[in-house]
Amino acid sequence: MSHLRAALLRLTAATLLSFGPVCAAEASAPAAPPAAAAPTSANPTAAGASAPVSTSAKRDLSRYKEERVPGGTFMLAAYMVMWALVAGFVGRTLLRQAKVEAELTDLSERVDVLTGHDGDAT
Amino acid sequence: MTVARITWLLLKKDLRIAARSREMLGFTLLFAVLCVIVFAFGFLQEGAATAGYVPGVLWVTLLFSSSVSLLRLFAPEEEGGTLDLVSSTAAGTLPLFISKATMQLLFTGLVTVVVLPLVLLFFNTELKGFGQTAAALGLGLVGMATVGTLCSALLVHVRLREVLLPLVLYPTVAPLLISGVKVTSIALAEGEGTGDWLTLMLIFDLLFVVASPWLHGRALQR
Amino acid sequence: MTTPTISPTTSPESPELAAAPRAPVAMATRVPVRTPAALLVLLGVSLALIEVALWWIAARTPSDIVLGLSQKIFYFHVGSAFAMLLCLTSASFLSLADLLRPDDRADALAQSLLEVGVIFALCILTSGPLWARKAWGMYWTWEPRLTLTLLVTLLAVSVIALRAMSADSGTGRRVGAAMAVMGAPASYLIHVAVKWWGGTHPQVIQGGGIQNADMRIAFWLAVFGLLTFAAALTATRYRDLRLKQRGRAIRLNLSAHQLRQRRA
Repeated sequence: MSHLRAALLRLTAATLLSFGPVCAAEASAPAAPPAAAAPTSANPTAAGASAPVSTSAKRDLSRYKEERVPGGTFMLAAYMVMWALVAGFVGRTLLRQAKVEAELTDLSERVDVLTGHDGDAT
Repeated sequence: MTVARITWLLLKKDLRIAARSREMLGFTLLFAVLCVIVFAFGFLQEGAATAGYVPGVLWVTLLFSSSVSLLRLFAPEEEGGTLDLVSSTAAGTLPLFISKATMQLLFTGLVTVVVLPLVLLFFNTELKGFGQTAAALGLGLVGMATVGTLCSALLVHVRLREVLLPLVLYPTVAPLLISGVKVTSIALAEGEGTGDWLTLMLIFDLLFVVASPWLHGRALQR
Repeated sequence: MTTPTISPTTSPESPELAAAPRAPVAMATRVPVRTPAALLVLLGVSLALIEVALWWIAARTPSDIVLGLSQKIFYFHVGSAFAMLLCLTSASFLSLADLLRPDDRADALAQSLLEVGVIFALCILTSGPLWARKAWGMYWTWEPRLTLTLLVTLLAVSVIALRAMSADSGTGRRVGAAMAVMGAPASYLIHVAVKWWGGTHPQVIQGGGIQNADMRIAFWLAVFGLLTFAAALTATRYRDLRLKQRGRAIRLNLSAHQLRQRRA
């Protein structure tokens, strides 16, 4: 149980961390205009809608293409390793559970022998 | 027939207990009044409390004082150790739920009657659109009493229930709170368009008036 | 005093149990440990999907024209949101099933789903504000989906707390289930209420959709990666809870036996 809890904690930490630097890296880049100021139908915050350039977004687009995270490759590698570690931990917990299960089976058989199957309690 | 009779008997018992020891109602009212006063202090600007806060203060005060009385709703049964007895009537747990919800509704209704004029007085506001406000208050109180009684009944045997009750109750009644505040502020401004919000409150009430006694019975069956 | 060694062949607690005949037991420890191959495969698949998704997001997807790099939060953010919604909704339905017809498996699964749902909800509630700071200029707005996520998370947390606080009894279990069932209609009404309240959340899937092919691939990789990962986590927790239930059954069996012996 405590292993799982630790694994979940790690998962949370890793997931959260995986979002942090993306934001931090962008802090140096020119900030996008706060879309909340104009929550119209032509809302530019529609994420992923990269192809249709709204008329309001007439600015130097090349700036964004050059946006690079310093040491981006290492960052990516770090995330991949982190997720692998988390998954490995969960996998190990699964394998350990099998051992606990075997012990429980053993224990229940002993109890059955001891009680001689004399009761209706399971 | 049986349900109505047993409910009436249980309700009469609770009313008698409440009438003999008036402290619970008294303290709840006192708490509500204090709540309003504290809110008035909190929202004081340039020596006068701001009128725009009236709906929020009113509804939050009602929510807070209703959770105060909810924590004591099943106290007579707990202290007398009779919870199992009143739960196992000929008609099941339904009479207990209805009588307790009615008690809670009466309690919060009385609190409202005291709090509403007080809020208007402290915040220098004139009561306009009385019909809409009353409808919202009625629907809101019914919903809060039903969900509140369910939460209170389910938490009877739970440790730290004083902390858990608001944690469960407040998110659940959030729709009532949002709609209630909205309707009240529209009504006080003599605006239009409270219909949708009142319908939402009505749907909430209908849903939980049906679901709560059922869940109560299911969860507490022996 | 030496530290008691806990092994399958000695029981530190009950001398009675230690004296139990050994013949059929010696075999039991040799029963090969059953490895849950399907679960490991599930975990492996989810890890593979997530790794590819990470690489795709970093290397293949273009930056959003308006939002720049910060838009890349989107893939894991929406994936976590899907996982959370799926977990919490099915937890609610399983709780209803458990209330209608008590079943240990439904209860254990509902509880695990609830816990995993909360983990993903916490992820969203962290990544969301970070992204919102870039996109909307503020960390938090009282916007429908944000409000709904917050309130639903609070409800789920309180149900988990309720299970932890109530005694390990049938009542506690049914009470928790009732709360979880109540959460579903409540969340729907919260959703309606806060929606009318007004909002600006982007509607990606319902709206124009994702135009860029690389973005679409990254999106679905992340979604399926996180969903399978949620499934693997749920399965792990589910097995945990099932083992706990088995342990409790054994203890019940033993104490029933001791009670009978004392009577005899």
